[in-house]
Amino acid sequence: MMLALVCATGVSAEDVAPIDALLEIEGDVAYGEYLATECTACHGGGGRIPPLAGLPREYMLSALHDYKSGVRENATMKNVAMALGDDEMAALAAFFETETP
Amino acid sequence: MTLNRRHFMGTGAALAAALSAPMVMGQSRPRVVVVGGGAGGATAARYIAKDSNGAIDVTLIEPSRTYYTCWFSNLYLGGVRTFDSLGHTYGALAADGINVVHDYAVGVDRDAKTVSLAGGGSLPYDRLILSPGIDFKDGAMPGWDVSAQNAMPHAYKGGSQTQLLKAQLEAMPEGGRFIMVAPPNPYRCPPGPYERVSMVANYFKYNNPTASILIVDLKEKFSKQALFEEGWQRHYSGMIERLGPDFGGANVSVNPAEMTVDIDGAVEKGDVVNVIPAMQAGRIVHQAGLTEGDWAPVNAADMSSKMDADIHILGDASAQGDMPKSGFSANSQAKVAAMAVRGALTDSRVFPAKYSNTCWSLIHAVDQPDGVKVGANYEATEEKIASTGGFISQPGEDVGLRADTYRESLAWYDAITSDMFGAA
Repeated sequence: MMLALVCATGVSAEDVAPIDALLEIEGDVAYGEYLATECTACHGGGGRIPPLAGLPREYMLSALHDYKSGVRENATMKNVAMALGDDEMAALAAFFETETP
Repeated sequence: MTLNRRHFMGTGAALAAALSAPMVMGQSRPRVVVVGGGAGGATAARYIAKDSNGAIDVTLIEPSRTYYTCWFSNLYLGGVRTFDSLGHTYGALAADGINVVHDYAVGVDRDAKTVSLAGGGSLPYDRLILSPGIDFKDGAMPGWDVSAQNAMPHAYKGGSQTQLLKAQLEAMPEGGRFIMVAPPNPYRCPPGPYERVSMVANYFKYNNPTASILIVDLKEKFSKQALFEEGWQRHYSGMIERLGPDFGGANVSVNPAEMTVDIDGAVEKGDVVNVIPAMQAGRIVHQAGLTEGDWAPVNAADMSSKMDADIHILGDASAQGDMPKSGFSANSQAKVAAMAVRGALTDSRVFPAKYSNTCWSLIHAVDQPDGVKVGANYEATEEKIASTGGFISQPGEDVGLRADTYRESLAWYDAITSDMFGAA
């Protein structure tokens, strides 16, 4: 995890906020619940696409950050992350942390 | 009972508002009626019921007791998926408190705000959601009408048509010929016909290797074209031929009795002929007077009809802008509409609409699965649902990535069908 974070800081596009700044944002859980309906179209069936319910917000934020900056590679997730603003990422991370796995 | 179309089209919005107001106040719970239990309708019903915690009375009208998905039906044709695995029932939605009515919705009275059922009676609504999918345009393909679908199946609605085409492919003589007449734009599932060709070729490769495939296509270009053509060359070299508009593909008629296709005067005989005709919105949105041309225009912010603010139209039947007609799109649109409907009826919070879509296609299944994908995110503008950015698989990707993409699609199928129909 730490290695990934260090790398992310090195290769981030200008529009990707540093992970520390994302962690500072208090997420709107109700907004996150709405935004999460996009995620459930693919996440939740098991197999190749992991479940998200109950993930710690730090993990979710770093994953979204890494997809946006290109440290983690998946065309779908890159596109999803690119369409999310910092407040939206914070809202999603806050919501999924409240969910029971 | 039958409703006269002129009757409900002719009267004004003021009367409709006057009638609807006491209906909301005079009953304990606001009522939502959803027509169509596919990708859009099942999702909308489920999200409204689930997120309103019983504050909204939700009725879902769907004639079938088991819904067979059109998406992934090509994998059944390719021999890598069972027919039963495509079927989904409504028990989980009923358990969530949704009133599931297995009947045909045959008319909408927009002034009285009721939906009439083929089985008799009618259901009142405060908000109506129409998600009827597509119908075929009779006469759009000379020689083909719906009565020809047993000889020349479309197999473009999930269910018995899919089984019929599969049976015909299995009964084909050795070295026989499969002809597909591809549909004109716009149609549901843009890569669908070409994934179908891929899966039929996959079946032939291992069961009837001297069989051939002819695609007759009036379109210059098609979805994921570079990816499909590369894959056909790699996996099925010499098996697949496509005649586009430059080679007569735009001047086509069919003869179901003779099992022939006339391509700009050249008559070709097929052992199996799959005609995917031009499409239009499902009948009920036409009957309700909500269409312009073939489709029903909607507002991008909440999927409401441009002609009736109390009716939302989802999925293939809607004309919304940049999103492809797909099950994924319908599911995404349903969530926005569900949020808007809850906001209007129960004052829950409403957020700006966001939409997304991903379409996976399988080019080759056996040994090393070869899967590709295309997708995009969307937002609502005044004018339409507008793309904010997308992606597509690239030619020449390594086999490991393609196999991963296929495995992703399997996980997606399980997730999205649970998202629509509830956990089994």
